[in-house]
Amino acid sequence: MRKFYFLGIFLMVLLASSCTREDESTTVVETEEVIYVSGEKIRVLGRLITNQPITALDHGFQLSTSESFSNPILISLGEKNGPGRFIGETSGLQINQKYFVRAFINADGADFFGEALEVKTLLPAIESFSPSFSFPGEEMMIVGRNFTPDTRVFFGEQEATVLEIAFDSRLKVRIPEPAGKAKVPLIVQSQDEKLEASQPFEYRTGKYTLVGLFPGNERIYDNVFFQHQNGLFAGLGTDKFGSYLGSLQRFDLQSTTWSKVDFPGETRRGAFATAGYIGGGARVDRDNYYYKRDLWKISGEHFERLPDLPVDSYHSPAFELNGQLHVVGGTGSGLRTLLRYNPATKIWSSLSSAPFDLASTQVSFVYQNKAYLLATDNRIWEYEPTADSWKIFTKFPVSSEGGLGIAQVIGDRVYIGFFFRSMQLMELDLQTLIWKSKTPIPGNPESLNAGHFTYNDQLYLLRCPDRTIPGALPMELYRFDPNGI
Amino acid sequence: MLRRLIHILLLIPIACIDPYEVEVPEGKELLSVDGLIHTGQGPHAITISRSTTYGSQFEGLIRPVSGATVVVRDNEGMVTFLEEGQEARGSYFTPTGFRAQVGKSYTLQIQTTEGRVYTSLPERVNAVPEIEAITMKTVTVPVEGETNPRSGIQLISEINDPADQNNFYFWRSGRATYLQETYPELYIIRPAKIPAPKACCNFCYITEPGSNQSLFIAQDDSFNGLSTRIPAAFIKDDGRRFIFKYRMELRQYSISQEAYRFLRLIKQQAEISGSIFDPPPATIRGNIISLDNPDEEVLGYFIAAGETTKEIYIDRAELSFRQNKVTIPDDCLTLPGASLIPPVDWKP
Repeated sequence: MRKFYFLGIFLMVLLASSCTREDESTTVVETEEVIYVSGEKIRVLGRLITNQPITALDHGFQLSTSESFSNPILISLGEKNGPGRFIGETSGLQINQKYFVRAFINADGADFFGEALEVKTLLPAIESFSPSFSFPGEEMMIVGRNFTPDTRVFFGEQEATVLEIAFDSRLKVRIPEPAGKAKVPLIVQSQDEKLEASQPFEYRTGKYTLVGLFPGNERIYDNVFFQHQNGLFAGLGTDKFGSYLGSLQRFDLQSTTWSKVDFPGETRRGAFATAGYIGGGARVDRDNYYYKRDLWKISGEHFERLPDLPVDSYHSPAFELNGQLHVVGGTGSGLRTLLRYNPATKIWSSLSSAPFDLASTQVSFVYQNKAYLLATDNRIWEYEPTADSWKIFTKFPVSSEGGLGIAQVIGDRVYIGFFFRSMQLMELDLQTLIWKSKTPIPGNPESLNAGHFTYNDQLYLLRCPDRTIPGALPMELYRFDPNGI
Repeated sequence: MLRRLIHILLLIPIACIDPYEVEVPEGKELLSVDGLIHTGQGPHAITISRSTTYGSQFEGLIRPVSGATVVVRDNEGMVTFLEEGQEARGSYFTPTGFRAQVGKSYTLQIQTTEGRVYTSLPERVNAVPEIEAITMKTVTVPVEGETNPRSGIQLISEINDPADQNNFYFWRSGRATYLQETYPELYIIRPAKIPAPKACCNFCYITEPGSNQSLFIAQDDSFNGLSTRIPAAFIKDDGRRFIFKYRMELRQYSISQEAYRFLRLIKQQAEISGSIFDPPPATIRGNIISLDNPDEEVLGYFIAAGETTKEIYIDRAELSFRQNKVTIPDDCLTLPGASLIPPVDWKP
């Protein structure tokens, strides 16, 4: 009987214990992966894995510089119902700083944490910037890495306006006004990290100063111009009504005054002039050309008649090489004819023809005893007088359409530009053949060039409003400092 | 009379049969990303589209996702912007000169025009061993009811697997070039069938993009640190390719373990044949996540890989079985990718 009693108790215990259900619920929080890290921003992927319905009061990530997560930065994502992935993001972190990050979830009054991952924020860097040569007010794009939202950009000492920071890697800034220097270091500051670009930024230079107005509100066209010592001469040609002018005006660079200089020859248009000679040209009566073959030597304000040109010359470029006058092309004797006048023998000789058509609407300059002429296809040809040979030198990089531009050499640089209705001036380094654009000229874009000169490493530009522009608009004389800011 | 009546009565039940239409619930238009950047010459493409419902017939068109901002960012923070193709909407290309670098991790970021932002998980670029040699063998597959089997060539990549790391391989067929003979003298104007022989041209070089209809992947569990030979491509013999010389570029990639797992699952799903041993059809999760809703289902995978390539020239004599030559009665220049001049690097 006792045996049955114990057996009964044992069976009842067994029965009761079999009714006890084991709790198999599992809740796991995983810090899966750091999917983004920059200079000051981090983005982390976490996951809640559970086999039971769960409502977390809060979930997210903790971030700390210490592994023990003391004083952590909390990325709170709020309530979460059920399992699944979650992404947390925070910014404003210190650059180049080691952090520990872990996912957390607060459910049923308990905190669950994922495994801690170690991550280091990145250092900013500059990769490149463009343009590297421009002018104030233009936009510049700096390409780099890990720029923080507080990034500042300096052009030397001048701070630029940051317009946009895209993907922490593209900085769009507005170029500030220069502070007296053309080449300045480009500095990017993110938090306390200062970065300097490997190449400096260069401001586009060139400063124009209005020196004076041509006397008598007069405008001259198809004229000649030349320079003798500190005097700038411009004249002959016609006025805006087409009347022929028989004199020139001389601008004295010392006194900045104009004075009239009479020319002993006949009136004409389309003549040529160099520092030492003036000649050619024609009087044009409707379609009839009355060519002038007389040649004059310039001696200050005096003109000495020389033997006449052997051919007609009209709108011919002219230049002096080795003290000898060269007249090329033009519509008088042939667009490719090259003639040389030797003042010692007073003899004209014919040289190798130019390989392209030439007229005075195209520009020419002399450098190191060689002549350079711009063709209409923008190629610049070099003429070497000793070998009497032509070769292609380089190419003008922008449009020269319409011609009527200028070309003047200062040191090892030539300045070419101001073609028909263009205010653009280009600088060519004759040693490196690198082109740079200069500050555009102020004034009316429809102005033409009535003369261009150099003095004390500066350009002088006599600008004349186009014949079609009505009104009493005077001709303006500008001084251009190529390095001025 | 009675016979006619029976015929008419027989027609009635026939007309009453309705075609069976499969009712498919409206599917979500899921974002789908297919992208591979590698250490080889670019540009590399990322293709983004939206899926559509598939039933007894296409319910909609797979739409390319156009106008998105797509960038690839490395683990040092260097961001590369991808530009959408003008003629391939939804395909975004890396700039010329971009190459992934071994040892770096890359993430893909996509911002759609609706402002939704997606990112991939970081993918690390692993070094890839060179293809030591490419060999080939002819493969024939009997076709029921046909006397001629289907055939082609299988390319086998020979590699020396590095022992110090776990490697996962993926192969793709690159562009192929072959010499094609046609018969312009047999040209006829259809449908009138008027003979109009053309004077030119009989022989052209045909260049075609790689056809990657099958996935070729491998992991080195069974050959770690050993020299091995693995099937890496299959080129179908269409009666045109292997008449003279055929050249193909084989591309070998070293991919991450996660990318390998993804491609293996895709391969399994693609090779379902209806057998009871097939894996059940399932959505395969890739490595693209929506930042706005991490639970959003996004399809596809962004792979960053090391790449090596090798070319193989195949002569017709090397095939143990060839399909009958296809006769094309026209100027060979009318064929897609045809040129009279061989590619500059054609050195059979």
